[in-house]
Amino acid sequence: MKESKKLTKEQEKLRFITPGLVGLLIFYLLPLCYCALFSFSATSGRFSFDGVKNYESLLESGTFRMALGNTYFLMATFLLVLYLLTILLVYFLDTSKGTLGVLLISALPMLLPPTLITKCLQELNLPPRLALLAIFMWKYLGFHVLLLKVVEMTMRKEWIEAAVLDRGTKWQIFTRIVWQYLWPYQRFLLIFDVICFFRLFRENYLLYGAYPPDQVYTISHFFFNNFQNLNYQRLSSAAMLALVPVLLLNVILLKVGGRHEMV
Amino acid sequence: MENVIVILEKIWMAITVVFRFLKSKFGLIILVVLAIVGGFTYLSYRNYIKNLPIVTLTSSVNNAIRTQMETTGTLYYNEVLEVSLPQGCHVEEVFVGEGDAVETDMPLLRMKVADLQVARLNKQLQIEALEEVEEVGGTEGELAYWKKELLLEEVSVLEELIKAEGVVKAEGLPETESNSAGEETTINPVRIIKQAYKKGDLTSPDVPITMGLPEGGCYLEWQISAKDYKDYKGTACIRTQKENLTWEAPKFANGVYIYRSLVDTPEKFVHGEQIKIELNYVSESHKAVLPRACIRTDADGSTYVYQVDTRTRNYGEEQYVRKLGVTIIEQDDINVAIKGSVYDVVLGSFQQLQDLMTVIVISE
Amino acid sequence: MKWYKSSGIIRGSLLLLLSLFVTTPLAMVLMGSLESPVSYRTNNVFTFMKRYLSLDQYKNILFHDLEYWAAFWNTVLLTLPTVVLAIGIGALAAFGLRIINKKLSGVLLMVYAILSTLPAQVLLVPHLVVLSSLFLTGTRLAVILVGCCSPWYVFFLHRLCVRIPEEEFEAARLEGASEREVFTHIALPQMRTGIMVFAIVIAADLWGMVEEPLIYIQDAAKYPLSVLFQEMGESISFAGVLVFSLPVLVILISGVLNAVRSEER
Repeated sequence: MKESKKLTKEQEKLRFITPGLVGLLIFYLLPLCYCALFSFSATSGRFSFDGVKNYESLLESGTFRMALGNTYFLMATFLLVLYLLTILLVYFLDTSKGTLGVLLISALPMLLPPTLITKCLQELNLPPRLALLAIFMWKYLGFHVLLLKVVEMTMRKEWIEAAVLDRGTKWQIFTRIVWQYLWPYQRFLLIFDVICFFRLFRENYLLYGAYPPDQVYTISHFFFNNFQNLNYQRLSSAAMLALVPVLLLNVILLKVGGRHEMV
Repeated sequence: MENVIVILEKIWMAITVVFRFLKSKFGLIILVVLAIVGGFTYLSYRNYIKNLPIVTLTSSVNNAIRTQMETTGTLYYNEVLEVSLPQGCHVEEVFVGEGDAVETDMPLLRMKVADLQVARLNKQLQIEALEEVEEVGGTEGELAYWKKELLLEEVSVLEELIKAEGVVKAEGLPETESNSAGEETTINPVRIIKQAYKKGDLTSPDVPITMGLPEGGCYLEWQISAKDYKDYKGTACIRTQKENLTWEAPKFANGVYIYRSLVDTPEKFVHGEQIKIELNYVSESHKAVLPRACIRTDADGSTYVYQVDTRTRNYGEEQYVRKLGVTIIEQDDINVAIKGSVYDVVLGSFQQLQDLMTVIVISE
Repeated sequence: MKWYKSSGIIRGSLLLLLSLFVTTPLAMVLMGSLESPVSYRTNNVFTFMKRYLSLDQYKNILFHDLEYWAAFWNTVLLTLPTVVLAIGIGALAAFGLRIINKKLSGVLLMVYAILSTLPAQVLLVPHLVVLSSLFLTGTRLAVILVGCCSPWYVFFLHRLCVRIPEEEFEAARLEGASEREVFTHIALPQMRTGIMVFAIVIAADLWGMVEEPLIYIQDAAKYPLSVLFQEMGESISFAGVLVFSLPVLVILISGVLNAVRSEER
């Protein structure tokens, strides 16, 4: 038909996003549904609706509670330390070429394979939480500061000059102007950091194996071990349970503080 | 369906877009990195191939273990005939030597007639003396009588010898067809075992001429230690000076000396001849026999072979060796019989091998 | 831009601390890679050098370790197509999200944003289920496809083209360009640097992926080097790790320099 040959503008535009959407659908939305379905089945292999048995057993399981607790505790601690250090560095460092150069190099560890840092840490014997904290900082601090500094560079000079003229203190300028500008990006980084924290599982696993010391046993270990034991149902329920707060947090963050177009 | 095509078209567009990036300097760097990686891969591959030990393989086969053992023994005639000679006569001529075949009425040696006469006369004198004692009678007389009889016998022997001009002939040989026919016989003639006299010797009854009688067979006297003998079930081969003879090797009996009678005797063998005995042992057929070179020994003495197997690595398949312990049942100089058959065992290698080492297999 | 005068000492010491912190592990790995696996007795300077300043590890890895290079190619085979496809699909989708009507794009972006925050391990098993119904389990394609459809990529690339004012698109459309031409001639050139940097970042991230290949592929011959390292555990050689990270570093630095240079242009 001649009509269908000439696609409307709208249809043509839609065609751009189709491959991405298809991929997203197959590999992300569909698995989520499967996950949800599995979480309600108690027999292995097949779907069956057994109600909330899985959830109940999970909430009773000490391992799960410990894993979840550990995860949130570690995540909160790590992110807190990270942001403190980030703010410290953003406050005190400037945006000259030299500083940016150093920051660039500091950002590299984020992209190095996990074996490097693991090998290094195997030599020193730090307490587990401290070791993981160190890894987390090593990997992501540089990138954070770099990103914020680069963003800071795009800030308009006039705002600062105006504030300086108003004889604001350094601290005031920082909190009222600079940080407001940086906040959307920081919010984005917050979301990003949650993912990064879960990526820490790689190093965690390399250092301590599938059954690490209790202090660093996270949800990811729980998932992984259940997977190795072929206990897919439990895994799915645990995933659903663990996901909910994360998703909620993200949704809140996205809604609060402006439209996500600013992100 | 349309949508699928459109999606594919978009993906293709995406790829072409990205390829445009590759034309930039950045893309060049990526290609260079890939080329370097490729280079190292190739070099590593070359080194890998170069360093692989080369081995040849073999598998266990059905075979028997053969061992040989040599020992010596002595062969004797079972039955001998002795010709005794009178005392104290000179030998003038000797007609036969050790090992010579003898037929009935064949002259053996000749003694000096004069000595015989002297001996006879001496005995006559003794007889006369005894006759006088005999006339006295009583126990002494009886004793004298019997002594006289003995001497009379000896005298008659001497008289016969004198009649024969001192030639001692072979007598008392068993009658055999071949002997009486007088034809050339090749089978089992009587032979002189021991000829103790040379020209000029003095004869003595203690030193007879012995002849071996073949019909009696001969026996082998040999010894072998228990440790060496094992359980020989094979054949033994007798190697005499002239001929070889095979016979069933006897089962090992208690003790060290073993001898047996033989039925067939070799022609022209000499009584008391030292002979070599070859014991050939052939085992029963073993299911798994390997060449000796395949068997290796550990530091603690356990035996093993290297078996070749295939394994998959991430660069492909490779062959490797694996230690496989074996129990030796029997062995000889060339082969070793083991318990349980094995396949693809390393026969020869140009380099020192280790467990789980990768190898390359070539066929001879 | 110096909008305050902060003390040089504080700045300097902070930078120093930061750089020390960052480079110490690297230095440790570097030192470790120069240590010879053969333990010479260090009596004098020469044996010390032979033991602690030797290139033996490098020689072993670079020229004698076929397994290493086979796994290296596996890594390349997994990373490159994923990056290519991710950029391709992502750029298209990002542009698409930019130009379709706001309501729809708003909803979709929300979905993308939420899905981006899913930790990877949650989806491992469901991925397996989906893959097996597509008969893709055990192939490298599985890892590639899963990797290239990640919502995070679309989200980020979208941000890159958000800046471009709508007017430029309109101007092009008025001149009779189809959407595709608008994409290739207007949007893409402006996104180019960002895309390049982003590609490097994704590549570096995917270079070290461990869980995905481990779970989607069962055939040990197809595992990338990162999985191999994990399986080796204690006995990874420092040199191996360094050589593994080197392409990432090289590409990173060159790409970033390239990007900076093209930005300045």
